[in-house]
Amino acid sequence: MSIIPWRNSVSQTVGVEKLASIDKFLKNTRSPQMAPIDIFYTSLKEILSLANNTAYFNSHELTACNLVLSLIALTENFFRNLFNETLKICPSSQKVSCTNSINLGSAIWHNKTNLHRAAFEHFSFADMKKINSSFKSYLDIDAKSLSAILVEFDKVCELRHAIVHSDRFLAGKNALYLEVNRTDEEIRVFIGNAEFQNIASICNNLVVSSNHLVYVELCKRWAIDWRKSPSWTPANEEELFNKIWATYYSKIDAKNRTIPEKLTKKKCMKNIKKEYGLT
Amino acid sequence: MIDFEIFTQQAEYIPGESFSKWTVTHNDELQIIKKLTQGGAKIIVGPRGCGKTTLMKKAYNSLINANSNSSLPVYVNFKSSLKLEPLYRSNTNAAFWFNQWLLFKVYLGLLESAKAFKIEQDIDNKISTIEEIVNNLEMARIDLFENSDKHLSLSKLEHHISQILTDTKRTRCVLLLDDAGHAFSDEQQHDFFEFFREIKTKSISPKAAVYPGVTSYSSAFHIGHDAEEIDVWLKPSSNGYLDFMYEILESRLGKEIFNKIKSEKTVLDFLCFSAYGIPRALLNMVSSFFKEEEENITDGKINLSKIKFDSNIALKAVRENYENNLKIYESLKIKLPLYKNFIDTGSTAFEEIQKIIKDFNKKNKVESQSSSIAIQRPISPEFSKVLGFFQYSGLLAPRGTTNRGNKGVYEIYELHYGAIVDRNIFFSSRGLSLENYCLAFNNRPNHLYPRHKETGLIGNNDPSKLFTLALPPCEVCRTKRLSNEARFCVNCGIKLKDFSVFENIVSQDIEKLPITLNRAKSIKSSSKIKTIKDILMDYDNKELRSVPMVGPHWAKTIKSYAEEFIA
Repeated sequence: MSIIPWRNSVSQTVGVEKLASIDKFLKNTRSPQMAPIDIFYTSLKEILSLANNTAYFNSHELTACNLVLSLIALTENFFRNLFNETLKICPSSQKVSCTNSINLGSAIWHNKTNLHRAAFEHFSFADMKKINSSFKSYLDIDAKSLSAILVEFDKVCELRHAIVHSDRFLAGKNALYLEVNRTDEEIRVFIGNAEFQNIASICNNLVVSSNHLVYVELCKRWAIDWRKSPSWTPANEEELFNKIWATYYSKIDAKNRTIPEKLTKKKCMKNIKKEYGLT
Repeated sequence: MIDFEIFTQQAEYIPGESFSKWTVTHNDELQIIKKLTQGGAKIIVGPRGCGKTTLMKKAYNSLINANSNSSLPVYVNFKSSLKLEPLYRSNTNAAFWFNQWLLFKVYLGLLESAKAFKIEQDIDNKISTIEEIVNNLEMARIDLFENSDKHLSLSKLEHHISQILTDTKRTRCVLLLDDAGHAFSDEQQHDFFEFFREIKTKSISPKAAVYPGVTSYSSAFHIGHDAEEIDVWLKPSSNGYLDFMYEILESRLGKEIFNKIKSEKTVLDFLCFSAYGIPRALLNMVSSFFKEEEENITDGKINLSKIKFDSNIALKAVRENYENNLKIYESLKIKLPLYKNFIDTGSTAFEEIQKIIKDFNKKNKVESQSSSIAIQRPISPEFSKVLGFFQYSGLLAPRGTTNRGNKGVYEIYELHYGAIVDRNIFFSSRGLSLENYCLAFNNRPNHLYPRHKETGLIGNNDPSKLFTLALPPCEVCRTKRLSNEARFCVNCGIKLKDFSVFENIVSQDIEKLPITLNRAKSIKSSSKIKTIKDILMDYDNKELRSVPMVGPHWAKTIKSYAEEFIA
C-alpha cells in the first residue's frame, strides 16, 4: 500500500542535531582584579564600541535589542560583584546576611574564595524589588536614595521581558506596567541608537549610584559600627580602609579625571576620621 | 530731595507699606487679579518687568485684607530654583529633592500667610526651621536629609493647608507661585509642571507666573485643560496705556516731581511708549535722569531742582534700556548654551526683520508707520524657538494671526519700540523728532505690515542646517557628540556629562550684569568680587559695600541684578 503524502506537506523535514561538546561553548577565565564598578565600565565600553555605528544600529533592530540584554546582564553582574565584595569586607553585612540561604549547587561548585558569590547566583537582579530587598537583607542598607533610578531600571527590565521571552512583542502585563496607550495592534519593542544610549545611561547611573551608596555606608560603618565590635583591632584600621577603597574606588574614573573630589586614599581616610570626630 | 528707594524696580524688593502706596492698577488688571484670587489653575505669562510679581502681590494683599469668605493667599517666589539644577547632574534622586524644595517653599509661604493672619503659635520658630531646610536644599546639602524623616509629602502639605483654611475660616487656598517657569532647566520645568498638576485640588488653586517663549510644559500638562494661560504684557496700544504709566510715576515720585516731569509731556510720552508696556523699564529710564546729577547727591538723596528732563537724555535712556533687552537676548547663550547657534541665527534674522520694516515704512506717512511684521505659516519648530527667545527678551511681541485667504495664514509680531528708536525704523530721517515718534506710536495702523516667509528672514537657508544644537564635546577626549541623544562618547566610551547651567551662569564675569563697564571694573579692582557667584555669596553685601561709590542702595541693586540673572 503506497503512502499517501500529506504529513510533510507544511514544512521542510530535519534530521538529528546535538549540541557539540559542552567545552566548545565554554572558556576558562579569571575574574578581573578590579573594583566591581571598573569591571562594569570595561564591559560597558566593549558593548558601546559595537553600538557606535549609528546608521547600522538604527537599521538592525535585533542587534540593538540583543545588546540591551547584554547591558542588563552586565548590570546584574555588577550587583553580584558588589554584594560579593562587600560581604567579604563588611562584618555588619555578614551579620545581617547570615540567616539567608544559599543554593547547595552553587555552594558545591564554588571554591572557598568565591563562596559569597554563590549566594547571588540563583536570583535575578533585573527587578527593582529584588535589588531593594537584597540591599536590605544582605547589606543592611536602605536603598531609598536609588528609588528614582531603580524605577527607570525597572522599566528597562519590562522591555527586556519582551526581548527575551516573546521576540520583542510586548506582553499585556508589561504594557500595563509601562502604562502604554492601548491599541488594537500588537506592540513590539524598538531599540534605535538613541534608545540604546538612553538604556545604557540608566544602567550606568544605577551602577555608579549603587557603588556610591555602599561606599558611603561602609565608610560610616568603618568609622562607627566596626569599632564597636569586640573583634575591632585599632592596628587594622588602615588595612580595613584600604579594602573599602579597593572595592569602590574606580581607577577608570580616576584616569578619566571624572571624580569630582580628587583625594588620595590617605587624605580621604583622614577626612572621614575628621567628619566622624576620630582625630 | 528724593530717596533712591523709589526706583526699586522689582516688586519683590519693595517693602509692604511702599508697595501699597506705589503700585497702581490698570483697567485690564482688574480682570487678571480677579482670576488670580478666585478658583482654577492659571498661568500668567509676560516678559521680565511687565508686572507679574506686582499682580501676584496685589492679589495676595487683596485676599489678606478681604473678608473671611474669600480665599487664603500663599505667595511663593521660586526665583532661586536654578540653585538646585546642579543636583540633576550629580544625584539620581534630584527630582525628589527638587520636589521637596517646592513643597517646603510652599509650606514656608503658607506659614508666612498664617503669620499675617496671626493664627499660629510659635510661628517664627517654625518659619526659621523651614527656612533652614530650604537653604540647605539650595546648597545641595542632601546628606543632611537622606537619613532623616524631615521629608514633606504632598498629602502632609495639603493637611497643613486645610488646617490653616479652617483656622482662617477661608474656603480655598490660592497658591501664587512666582518666577515659576524654571526656564533654563528642562528637567526642572518638567518636574515643576507635574507638581503644579498634582497640587491642584478642589480647595487648592495654583497660579504660576512664567516667561513667554522659553517655558515648555511637561508632556502630561496641557494648557487649557490643566491651566488657563493669561497674557499680562500690557500693550502700548491698549486703552489708558499712557495714563497708567503716568500713574506709576506719580505714585512713585509724588505729585510735585511728577508734574515737573509732565511739563515736558513729549519727552514723558516718548519714554512711556519706549518702555513698551514694561513698567520696570520706565522706572529704569526715568531713574537715569536722576543719575545724571550724581555730584549733587547728599546723604543718598538728590536735589530735584537740578534735574534736566530733556530729549537728549531721554533718547540716551531709551537706547540704554533697549541695549538691556539685547543683553537679555544675548545672555540666553549662557543660559541655554545648547541653543547658541539658534541665538546667533536669530540675531541675523532680527536684523533682517528691522530692515524689512524700515524699508516698508519709507513709503508711509508719519501716522502710518508700521512696527510689525507678518510671518507666513508654517514656521519651522526651530524658528518658532527663536521667536520664543525674542519674546522672552522682549524684542518682539506676538500680535495674533491674520488669514489672507489663498496667500496663507500669517503670525504678526511687533518690534520693541526701543528698537524702532535705536534703528531709526520710522521715518528714516536724520533729524529726530520726539513729537513725530509720539504721533506714530499713538497711531498704530492695525493692518499695515510687511508680509514675509521665514526663509526670507534667514537668508533663504535651510532651517535644519542653520539651527543646529551646540552640543558640548566629550570632556575627556574632546570628541564631538553625534547627537543630542548621545549619552556616551563614540571614541572613548565615557559617559558624556551635561554641564550645569547654574554653574555656567554663576561663573560669568560681573560685566554680564546690567551695570556700566566702569562700575564692574571698579568692583573687581576694589573687592574680591569677580564673578556673579561671588556676589550671590556675599552675605549681607559686605564685600560690595567695601567698593567706593557703592552704598546700600547700589549694593542691594547689584545683588538683585545677580539674583535676577539666575532667575
